[in-house]
Amino acid sequence: MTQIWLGLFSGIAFGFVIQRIGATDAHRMARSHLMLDADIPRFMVLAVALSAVGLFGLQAVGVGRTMPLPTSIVATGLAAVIFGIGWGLTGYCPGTTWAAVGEGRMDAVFALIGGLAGAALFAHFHETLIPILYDPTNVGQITLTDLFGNYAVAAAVLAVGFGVCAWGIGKLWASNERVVAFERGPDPGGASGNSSGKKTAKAGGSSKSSKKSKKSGSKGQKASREDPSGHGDQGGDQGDDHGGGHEDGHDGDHQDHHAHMVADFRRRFWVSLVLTVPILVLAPLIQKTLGIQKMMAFPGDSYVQFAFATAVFFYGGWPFLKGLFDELKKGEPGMMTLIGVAVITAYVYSSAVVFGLPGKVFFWELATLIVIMLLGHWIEMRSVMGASGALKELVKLLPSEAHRLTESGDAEDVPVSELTEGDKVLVKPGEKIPVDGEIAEGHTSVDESMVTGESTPVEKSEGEEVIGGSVNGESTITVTVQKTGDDTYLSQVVKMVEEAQASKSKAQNLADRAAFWLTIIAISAGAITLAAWLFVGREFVFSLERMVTVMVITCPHALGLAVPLVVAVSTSLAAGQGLLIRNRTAFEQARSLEAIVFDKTGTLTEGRFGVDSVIRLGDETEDEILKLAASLESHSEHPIARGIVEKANEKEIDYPDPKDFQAISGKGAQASVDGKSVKAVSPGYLKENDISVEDDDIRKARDEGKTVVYVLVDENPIGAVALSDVVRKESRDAVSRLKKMGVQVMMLTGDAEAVAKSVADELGLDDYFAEVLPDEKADAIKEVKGRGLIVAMVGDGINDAPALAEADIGVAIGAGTDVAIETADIVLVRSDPRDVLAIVELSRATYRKMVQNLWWAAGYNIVAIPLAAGVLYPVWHYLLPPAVGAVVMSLSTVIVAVNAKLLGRVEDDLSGGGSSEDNDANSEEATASSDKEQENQAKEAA
Amino acid sequence: MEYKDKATIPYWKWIPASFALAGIIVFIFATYGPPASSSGFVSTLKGFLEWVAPEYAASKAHYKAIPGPGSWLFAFVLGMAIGGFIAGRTSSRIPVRDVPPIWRKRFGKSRVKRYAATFFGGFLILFASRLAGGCTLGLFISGSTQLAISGLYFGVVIFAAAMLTARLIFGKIAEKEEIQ
Repeated sequence: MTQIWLGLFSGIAFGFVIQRIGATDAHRMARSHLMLDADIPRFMVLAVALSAVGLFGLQAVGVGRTMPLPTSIVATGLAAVIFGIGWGLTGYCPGTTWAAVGEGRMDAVFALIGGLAGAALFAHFHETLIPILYDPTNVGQITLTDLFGNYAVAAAVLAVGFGVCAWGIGKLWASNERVVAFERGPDPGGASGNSSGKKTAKAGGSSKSSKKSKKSGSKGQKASREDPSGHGDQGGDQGDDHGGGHEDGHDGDHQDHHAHMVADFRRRFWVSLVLTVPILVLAPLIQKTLGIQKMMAFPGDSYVQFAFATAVFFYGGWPFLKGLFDELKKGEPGMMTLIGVAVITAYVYSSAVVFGLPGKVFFWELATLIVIMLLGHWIEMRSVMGASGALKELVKLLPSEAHRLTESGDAEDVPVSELTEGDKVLVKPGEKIPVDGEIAEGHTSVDESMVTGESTPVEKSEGEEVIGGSVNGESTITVTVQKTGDDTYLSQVVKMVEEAQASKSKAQNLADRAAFWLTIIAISAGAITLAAWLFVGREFVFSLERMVTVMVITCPHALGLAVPLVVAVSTSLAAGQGLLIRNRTAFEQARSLEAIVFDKTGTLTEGRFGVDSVIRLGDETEDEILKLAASLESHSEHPIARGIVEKANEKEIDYPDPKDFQAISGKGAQASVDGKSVKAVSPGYLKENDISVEDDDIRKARDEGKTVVYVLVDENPIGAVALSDVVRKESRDAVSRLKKMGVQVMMLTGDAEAVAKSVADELGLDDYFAEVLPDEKADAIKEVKGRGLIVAMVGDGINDAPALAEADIGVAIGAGTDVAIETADIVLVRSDPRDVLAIVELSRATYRKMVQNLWWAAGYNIVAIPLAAGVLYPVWHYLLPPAVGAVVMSLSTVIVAVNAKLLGRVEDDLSGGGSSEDNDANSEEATASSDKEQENQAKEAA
Repeated sequence: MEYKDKATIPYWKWIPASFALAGIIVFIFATYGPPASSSGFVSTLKGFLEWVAPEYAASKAHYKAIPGPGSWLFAFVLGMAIGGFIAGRTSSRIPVRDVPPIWRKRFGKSRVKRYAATFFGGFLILFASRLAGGCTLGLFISGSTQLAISGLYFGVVIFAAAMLTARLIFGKIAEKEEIQ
């Protein structure tokens, strides 16, 4: 009777504790199994460690009963797997089921009933099941005391081991928790961000779409833009592993995903490394080498090795098994296939050996291979910045709320998703314009740089169109909504980027190509070995062992580090030179670059106006014309005005302060300078006022696409100033050096043919695309690709994003928009086109180093495979001793690591690199020296 | 009830909880012997079968080996249910949900689906526990406490298999959504 009361009391206490820790909550158990919550496993492990110490104390005072527990490797292992499946599925184990039923959880009641059924079934077949499953592999009632010889030592080992385990689980799981927390965003009130992102992404609206181009701005400045036609679903999610729409509103989502992957590899590496230690200790080869065979070997140790190897194979090898499946599904066998084939062969064969097949086990080779491959993947993922999240960046540009004007004229804040065509919204100074529309009221300047990459604000007034995502300037405007949801400009760009990314041909990187061939060699060499030995009449078991040996060594350990280490070194080298590599395959492709397409504005040119020439129409000298123009324009903030004033300053012309300055809307400005009425105006003003000017220089300048400003004194034209977008000094150098390397250099611009041609001629470009509308940029890249060339695109605006995605290598310049950067494969920190050269050179150096490393990693196979296959066996009875194989393998791993480090030496050889100051200094020197040469030549000619 | 932040659920801290559990386990070792809970299922079944089919119960070796309801084992599992009940009643802030949120996100609201799954899972768990001769408590915790390799081996494999299963079932959902 006392026993019943004791049992009841113990049960109540036990049930109470496990309920309070949350072990009866199936949801928490699932989180814990997913490594999102470390508390329960830590709790269990620490409780066991403490109990073991407590039991030791009980035994010391002669209290406490224990029970013999036989270990059947097969039955216990199989039972544990089935148990684990049930536990993972339901979140309940027998003990927690009872407590959960008491707590009132209905699903636990069903688990209890199911459990009773399971127990009844087992009891029914008890007599049949037990003898079959227990006999052959029962290793007896082994305890840690048998292994360590002393109960106290064994208990201490267990307590310390489990204590460390509890700490380790905390560390490992916690790294996962951090990633999850990071994904949620630092802001606990992130829900608002989430919902706004969702609303934006899903905002539906009118299906109307229009196609028209327009020109805006003043004084001849062009800003053309096309609203892409057609509409489609807006994707908030570009990859199957990416987060759902709920994360759209968050910063750096793709980085979180990448961080998650890096953390996953890191965790798998460390766990597998720890699990590999017992495998190594129990490996006969290592025991023999270290002379610890007698000390460490015990009955059934191969089963323990099998258990650990199983854990490493499934947990550590999981990414490779999954990768093998994915690669085969796509029909692109690569690195994952090679590793997958090697580890599966080793595991299946070794397991068969453990359970009776004569032969040797490959468990330690299997475990170390997985550990090194995980290390390689971790290093590689950590060094490269990860896939693009451009689409989410785009969606982020749109504000989530708008001030809608009610019929009474009041403004109410509504979510953008609620806006419909025809609604009027108020946009205050400095706010982002929420949707595409037309200005109904007001005049302002709009900063469209985020959308177009053009840094100059564009003047807009009533009737002109504005794009959602651009920033309103100095005054409040009312905008009539024209497009919402999927029809907006940004949504269209999203769609184009998505399409371009989907169609981008998947180039296989070097490691995958090498792995492809090694896979073929592994399978065919294995098959030949098996067939040959069977053919000469050897028994199947011997032939099979030879085959497995060949297949396992064809996937060399060093291969796992050969490429990742080079990637890590080259990525850090690149970063030191201002090149951020986001996509390694694209970077590898850069070595065979055949054509490069630059976006004109902001890339080849500086995106600001500079004075090209001053044209005389009367008696005034060029300096006098410039003086009057600069004086007048010194009061204007317009980019053209700034260009003129800069030129005057450069020439050290003193200009007086103008009086009575007045802007002539859209056509120029006027003021009184030194008592004269001076005007600087566009050709449109002359036309309106019937002033005709005939001059060849002016015609020529206009034919070249230059912007011409006329200077009038008392309504008489005295001269004109021709301006154009200033070509970067570095562009010339970059273009000529790229051409020397055999790369075709091209330019893409929305500007007029004449402007494009003059820049192309000035720089000596091979080809150019002018008047390209934003949605046609990707088509231009497609066309160049269609010529059979490997193409890089360099750009900075959102409208470049589809083209960047379409190109084999998308390069964004650092000063560009986030979206361009997100879409690009490589980001240039400086806006220096010469850095493209550095990419090509570094890519070539990296490639050379990778090829070398692959030879070091796989080269010894040329000798090792035939030896392992046993070609020398018939004559000398020589088979490659496993110990020799192990030494060679370790040696090649070391060589590969050292060789990768040597890539650092190419840094000095990279001509395109160096600091920007160096580059500037170099280019100035170059310009100065070429000027001197020209002077000398002129003197000689004279 | 939805909990957005696990910090709002007042679970016990794991270190004090593990001291409490270890205390109970040592108490059980001192007063009874190695604790077990899956045997409690057999004990319950035995009681039921001795009532409805006494001859069948008497003919099976498995039932012979385990004591019936008038035993420590049965009292212990009954006590666990009572303990769960008391703990549940005294803390209304630990959510009792028939369909766990993570399950709902993966398989929808259907209770039938969840109950079918827990029935099936319970079946697997108990069949396996009887095959191994113990469960999380009876083999992993009490076996490891006695330093038996069997318990350690069982513990490693059940955790690995459960983690793999959970990852296969809920992995994608957990990556995509906020699973609190």
